[in-house]
Amino acid sequence: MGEREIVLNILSKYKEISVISTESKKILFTLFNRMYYCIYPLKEEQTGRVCFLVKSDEQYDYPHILSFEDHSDGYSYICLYENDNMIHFLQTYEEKVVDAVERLIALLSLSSIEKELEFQKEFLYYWNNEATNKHSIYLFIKQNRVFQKMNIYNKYISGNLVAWNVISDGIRLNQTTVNKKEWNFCPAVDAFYISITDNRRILPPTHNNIWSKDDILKIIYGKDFSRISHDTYIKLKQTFVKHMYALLVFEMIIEETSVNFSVFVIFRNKEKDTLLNKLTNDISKVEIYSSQRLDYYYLCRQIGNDTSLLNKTALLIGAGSLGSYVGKELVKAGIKNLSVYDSDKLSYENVLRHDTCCLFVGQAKVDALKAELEYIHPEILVKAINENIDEDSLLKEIDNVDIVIFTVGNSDVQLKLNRILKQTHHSPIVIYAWLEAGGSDSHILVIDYKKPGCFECLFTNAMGELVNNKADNVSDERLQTNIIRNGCGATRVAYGNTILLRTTAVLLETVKKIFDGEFETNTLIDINLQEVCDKGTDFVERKCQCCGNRNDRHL
Amino acid sequence: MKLKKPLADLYNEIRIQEESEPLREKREFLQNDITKYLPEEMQSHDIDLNASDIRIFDQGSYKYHTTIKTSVIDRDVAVVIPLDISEHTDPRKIKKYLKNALSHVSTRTVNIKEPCVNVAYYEDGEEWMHIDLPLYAEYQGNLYLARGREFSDTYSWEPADPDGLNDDLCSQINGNDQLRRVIRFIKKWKYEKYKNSTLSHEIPPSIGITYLVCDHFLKVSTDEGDDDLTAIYQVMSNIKNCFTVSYDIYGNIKADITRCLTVKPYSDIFKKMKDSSDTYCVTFYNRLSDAVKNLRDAINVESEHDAGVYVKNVFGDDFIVPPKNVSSASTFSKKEHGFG
Repeated sequence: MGEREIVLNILSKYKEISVISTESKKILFTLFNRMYYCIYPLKEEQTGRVCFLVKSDEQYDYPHILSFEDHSDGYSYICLYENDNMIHFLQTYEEKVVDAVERLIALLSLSSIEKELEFQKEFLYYWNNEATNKHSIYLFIKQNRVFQKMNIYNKYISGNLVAWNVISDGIRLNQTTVNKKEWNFCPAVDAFYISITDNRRILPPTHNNIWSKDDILKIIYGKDFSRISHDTYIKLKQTFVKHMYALLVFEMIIEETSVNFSVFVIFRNKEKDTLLNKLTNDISKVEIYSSQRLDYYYLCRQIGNDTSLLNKTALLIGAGSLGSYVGKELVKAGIKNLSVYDSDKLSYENVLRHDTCCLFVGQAKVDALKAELEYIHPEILVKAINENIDEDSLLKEIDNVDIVIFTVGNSDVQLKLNRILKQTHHSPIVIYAWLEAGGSDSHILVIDYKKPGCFECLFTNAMGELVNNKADNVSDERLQTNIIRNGCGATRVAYGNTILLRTTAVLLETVKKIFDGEFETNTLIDINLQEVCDKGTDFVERKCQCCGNRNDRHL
Repeated sequence: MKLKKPLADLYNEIRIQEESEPLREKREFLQNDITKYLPEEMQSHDIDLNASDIRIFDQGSYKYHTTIKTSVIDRDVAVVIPLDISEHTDPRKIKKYLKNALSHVSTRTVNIKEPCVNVAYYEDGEEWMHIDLPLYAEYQGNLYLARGREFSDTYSWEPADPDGLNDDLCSQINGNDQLRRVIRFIKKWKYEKYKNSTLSHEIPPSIGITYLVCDHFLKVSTDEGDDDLTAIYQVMSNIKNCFTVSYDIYGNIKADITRCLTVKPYSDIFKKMKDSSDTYCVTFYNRLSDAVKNLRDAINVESEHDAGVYVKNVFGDDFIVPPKNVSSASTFSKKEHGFG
């Protein structure tokens, strides 16, 4: 049987459907008093799918009927599938047709409350299609979801307004991405963030639902039920407005996802009054603005980052290859405030295993890393110090950070600073990470100085004598073959870059576990090509000269 | 567990968590006006009343947090004044004074109803909210509810205990979230089945429904959490079994239910309903029986979709029926997502 016969046969099984005519690859039919086209694929198009078009009607508002995307002959596309949600390849031709028809009938049979839910799922699609602003609006909103006055900064290029940054108090943006010379504070527009706590009956603008001041009043002064908290309502009564323009940034939660939408309100006059009174009595025009939420907290939540890392700060000692990989992943994982120490400069020989690029060759590695990281997001703030960290700097830094991460290959540096940290009695948790030559083995040591064990334990034998790092597995012979001598005593060890990814991944998980409180003891983690092995406290030496029992040492 | 999410969604749809701002404002205005103008009004009729002696407090669903969304916002606020009812024997007059004290504002419509003074608010000719003010006299340590319409021959100061009623229901409901949900669900059922009723006393009183649910509620939960569907079914089924059902010689059904207040005046909550018409209780019983049958079918069928269809018969269109089971190929495909 050909495709058309199969589709006609299936359509004929539904008493609600009456076929009107057939054309090449499409069939015209009526369903619930409207005309639809069924467009069907060829059988050999195994990933193809059946789709439907409905006769366009400007007054017809229905979820998933994309009236903005008018197809030929005045028909609109009906969206029945979420992107990437189906494997059409797995369906037989008949299953595809039945599935599509069932979806269409189910969509057209929605109750009013189901339609509302579907409209809300697509809220921003409709909102942005009705938006009138020509410039971009970027929202940086504090995470606490309480009413707040926000600050607007604008940016002009060649005399044209191109963008607004709308920022909550307390959010700082870096200079790398937001140059203060380009952005001007915009005092003539008041901006407010209003959190919606109950989004029932809040629908996006559509043909039959043009947004007006009544929609704003429904949110702030709902007669049927409150859509904002009483605290927010009181704030609206207490906040004064003295300009003719206000930007209202609303947020509501739909299916556990934040939906932010912005309304530009023009008041009739400049008379100072409370925001509630101005919104209730004084609105002359409401304009729908598209906006994009960009704050770091929101974006972290969008990708499912562990929120236990948010608002944490880190000190990264070493901006070489491992430090650059770790730094980048830390700021992507939720730690946006980072201090980095390194005295080295980037060279061409570093570039292929460093996470910056050859544009920065000749510059300090910390400056290269700062630029690279701050370009990821405007809220990422990197303090770059182009020097090796000394005792004074270390002691100052640890008072302001939640974690210290060593990514240096020099054991002398780590042994020296390990002793300083042990002696301070107020060190945050410290991670020591290092790579072995050859690209197979690496190690992570987690130290809480209040617990037994320290970095020096690795260099101590059972007799309390200092020895080479016992955790290292690579033989001296293999180490020699992997050393590249740069002259005058300078060396580099070859280890490729896959070890960087492995080590960084484990280090990132380790950081999350630390902030989730999962480490009860200090721990050594060995990483090799086959496995990640948690060695626990095996490394702790009772007779360690730094952290051990000194009496034991003299026994 | 069957229909856990659809019932949770329905609950979110029907519940009123707290009073809306317009309601709060209207209530606060009323309370201020009562305190300000009622003493003046009483004084003009030679009755001493200090503003500080007036006690105003919530009654009903806003007190127990069992309010559901309805087309007209409805709130009960008790007004208690000290009054010698042996001297002022006609409660209609005192209710009139309360009405007068509140009638100076054009945006409200004040009427005297049998058990209360009713303050209604209209918009475009449609009532959108009313606040009922049951008026109590405090006399010799007891409270008495002012009963009687403005021009009715029947009136009385009826012994009452609104504080005791509040305490009784709050002690049962507070801290029992499933009970609170079941009360709201069954009030939703009542609203759906009686929303077109206009006749006085045809509708089972909410306080009666609330008491019956409290009487017959048994917590139902599994490893997956509270099983609200079974809890609703069991409560409604038990309430149905409380009816005394009989048939006359023509086979016509008669139904009767009694639930007395546990505080003064200890009267039967359903008395007015039964006194108004024999059919009201039968209708109540029949509608309840339909609900029980639908809920039983919902529990017994295998598919979520089919169960949802039955439950929709009970709660109306606000209940979202889960989709039908998809074909095997589509089941596979649900695991897909983009990596964006």
